[in-house]
Amino acid sequence: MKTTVNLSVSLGKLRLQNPVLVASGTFGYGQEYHRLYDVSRLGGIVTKSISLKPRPGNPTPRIYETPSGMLNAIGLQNVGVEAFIKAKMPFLRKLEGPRIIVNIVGERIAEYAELAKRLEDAPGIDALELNLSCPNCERGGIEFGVNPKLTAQVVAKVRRQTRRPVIAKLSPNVTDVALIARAAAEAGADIVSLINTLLAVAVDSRSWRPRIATVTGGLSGPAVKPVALRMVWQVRRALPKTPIIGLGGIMTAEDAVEFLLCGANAVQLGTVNYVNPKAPLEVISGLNRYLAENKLKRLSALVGKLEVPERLRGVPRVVSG
Amino acid sequence: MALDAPPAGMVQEKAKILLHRKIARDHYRMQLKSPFAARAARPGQFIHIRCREESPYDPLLRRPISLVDVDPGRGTLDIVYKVMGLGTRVLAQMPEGSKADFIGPLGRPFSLPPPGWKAVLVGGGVGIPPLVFLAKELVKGGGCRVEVLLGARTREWVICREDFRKLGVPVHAATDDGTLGHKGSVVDFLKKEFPFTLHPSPPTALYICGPTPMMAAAAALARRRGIPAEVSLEERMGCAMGCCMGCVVEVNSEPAGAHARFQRVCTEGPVFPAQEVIWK
Repeated sequence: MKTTVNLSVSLGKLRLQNPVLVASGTFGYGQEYHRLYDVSRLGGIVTKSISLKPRPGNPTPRIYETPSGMLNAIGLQNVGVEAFIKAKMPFLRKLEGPRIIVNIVGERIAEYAELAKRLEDAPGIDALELNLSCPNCERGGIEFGVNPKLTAQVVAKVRRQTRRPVIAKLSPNVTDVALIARAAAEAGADIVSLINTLLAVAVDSRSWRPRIATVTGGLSGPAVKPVALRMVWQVRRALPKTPIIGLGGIMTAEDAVEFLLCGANAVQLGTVNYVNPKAPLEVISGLNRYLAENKLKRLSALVGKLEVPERLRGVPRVVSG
Repeated sequence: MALDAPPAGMVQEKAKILLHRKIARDHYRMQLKSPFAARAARPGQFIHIRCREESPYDPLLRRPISLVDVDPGRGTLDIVYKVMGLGTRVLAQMPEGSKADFIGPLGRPFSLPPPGWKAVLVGGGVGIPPLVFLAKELVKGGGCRVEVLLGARTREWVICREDFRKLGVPVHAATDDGTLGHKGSVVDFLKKEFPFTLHPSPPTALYICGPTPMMAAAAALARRRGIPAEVSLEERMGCAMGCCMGCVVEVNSEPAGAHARFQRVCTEGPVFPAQEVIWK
């Protein structure tokens, strides 16, 4: 007998028709991939990072393939918030299925707040995701997301400007990701998403040059999945109630199940969009199949169900940083 | 020469490999069955092909490869590629009869010259194949003279000569080692054999595809002579769908402000007006 499965999921106030979102920076503004398939079937679309002013991005080369992964340093090239609202939102607004999540980025705390304020009146936006992996130009270029205080300040300032759910996208380039996640949640983030890319370098041994013009780039793809799973599990242990969107190297429905077991309530697909544009649809149907085969009615039956030794269950003792 | 708008039609498809042959040392030709893509494709466009589909996903990314020919009647498209690294090495192992996952056709095609013009096609090495498709389209359209100049390091790598010959267009060759045609670079040969006057008659357009230094030199020559020229660029690509912003090239026209200084080779290209490109 076929089990009736339901893939809908609620991340606090944010209700998704299914748990499969596409990650910021890998899906443009939705319209690009709509040429290949009906993107209204997605659970959510997270836009490319939007800044207050248009940004030209970094010099080239910007991307380099590594074993089972890729390195990128695009430099947040984007059209800026005004052009985004005018030229990119009309398409996204028309999509009835997926939740539209606008990813915002700033070089100063005030920029995040101003972006949230500017977007508050724009219709068709369901949530904001904060890209905290941008260098803070007020603090010597340190990423906001590697410091719990800066993370909390950005979240709190944005929180005051919007009624929409706020998602803090966490950087993996930290000693204790749970500490940052807690800082974000306590400052008012409704949801956390993790992981952003891992800071990395690729080298050309013949020319003695870095493969990326800016030397360092962000590593993504299947190569980072084990790190992402570890961090999702750590954040789930520390924050049993906070909705988590897990991402990092997901290629298949089985990969998505692994994230759910580690504690994610939903997932984002990133680099796989380049490799197999139809992967989001395949993951959705694969999750349906997985639930049916295992006689599970809801995804929540999987969330955080990783079987671990007794001593590793429950919330770990906090060592304050 | 104004650029034509890119056609909207594209697919992601698992296509049967009808033919897959070595055509020269390190060079392969693959024919795919895809009636939709064969109808939609224009000269200068490319497909983004997946080399390995399962774990460990290495190589992870697809490879962009330009079209050498299409047959809308038979519903086939042909690509020619050179084995350069892991991706193309894995691709070369795909047997005839198996299926290859590709996205395409992609990118902005060459713009065709008005009737009465002369088109000079300048190709270097693995940049030669897209010019075959262009020559075919120009011959089919009639009304314009086509001449082809091909260059490579050595005779064996002056690929696709037979394709041009079948089209009945004159082909000149230059090789670095002198094993075929003129000894030296194809751009030196172009300067010598085509002493273009400023604004020549009949009006002439240059179409250039090859290694970057060759394209830069040919573009400089075109500028000095006031000849419109298009180049087809190659870049490492992530998505090829216009999303990742990884394959950008710096251009000197600023149509829409700072964020447009870098244009995507996959979307605004791979064909660009030669004068717009800032050569590195």
